[in-house]
Amino acid sequence: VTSRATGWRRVDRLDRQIGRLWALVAGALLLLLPAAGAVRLPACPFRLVTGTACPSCGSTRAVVSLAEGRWLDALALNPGFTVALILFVGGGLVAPLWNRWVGRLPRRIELSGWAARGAAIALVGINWVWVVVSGV
Amino acid sequence: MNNEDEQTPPPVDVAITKLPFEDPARSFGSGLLETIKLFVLEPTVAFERMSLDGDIVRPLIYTVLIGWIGAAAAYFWGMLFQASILSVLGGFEESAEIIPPILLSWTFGIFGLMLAPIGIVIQTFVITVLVHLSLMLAGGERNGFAATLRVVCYSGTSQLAQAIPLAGGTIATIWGLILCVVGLMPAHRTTAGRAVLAVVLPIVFCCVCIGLFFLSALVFGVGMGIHGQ
Repeated sequence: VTSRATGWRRVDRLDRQIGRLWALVAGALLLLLPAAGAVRLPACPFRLVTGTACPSCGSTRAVVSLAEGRWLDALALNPGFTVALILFVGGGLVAPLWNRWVGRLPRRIELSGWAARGAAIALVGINWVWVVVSGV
Repeated sequence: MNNEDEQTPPPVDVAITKLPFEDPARSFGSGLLETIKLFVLEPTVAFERMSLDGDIVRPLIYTVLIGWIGAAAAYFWGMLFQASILSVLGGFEESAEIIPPILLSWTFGIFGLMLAPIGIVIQTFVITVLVHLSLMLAGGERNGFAATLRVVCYSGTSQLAQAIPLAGGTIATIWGLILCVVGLMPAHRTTAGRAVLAVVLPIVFCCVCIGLFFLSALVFGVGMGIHGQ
């Protein structure tokens, strides 16, 4: 199943199940998206206590903006969350097709190196600074 | 003891080593009850018995069932306390006035319960993605996404705590986090520190609680009446 030479392996039964589950979740989120504007939330507890926006502040409004087709507004409100959500939903819609037509997945994705950790912390940090500075 | 005895492993009873709910030889009901009992009383043993290569359908069915029971219990207590609070603080001049808002709220609640399985599946998958990414960053990932998904599914046993009035939600959340840490260790053959990091990182970095609250509110349709940001 594993191809060491190329670093890729064939998809197996579990991969197909996870791909279908991901597609189901992405589809459900897409169907629920138009209802996002009807949801009212309590104020962010982190902001209430510290007076500063938390890393996910603005994400609810970003979802509402996405539902209304205002993509740039969504990106301005919380770029990290918006990009992650688009990648998550898009990936879910593509996953079963990828498994069927390409049929291969990376053998192993390594994120435990210091470069990956640093990049992750930097991405979250930059997004948080953006959210705080832009006064979301 | 001779050489042959040393090399021959003792016979393993597959029916005993498997989780009862994952054992096709057992009935659905008894398997479910035995598995709940195992995760409540001996979570470490339960996670060690969890299959790492079987279908993910069984764990998903388990978490949807338990999650739905928890949601129904939370709904029951919520409606009960809402009626009491409204009757005391609602400012209604006649007791009959209180009935329409309560009925409306109950209707939305029942609609929400019907949609709850979808919400539980979405929530489980999103939590799994966040925990798995954190586990990869912590360097504790060994057995793939499916292993994390199984751990998150069976950690859903904590939703039974929703049957406790008032504090049920908080207890369920904390118990769920602990179960997740306990499960990640054998599932990925990782250390306690890395498992804790994997569970705590999403909360610290993403304030994921808010996102999950949003999702719950969306699916349960309880947004009405809660004042927004």
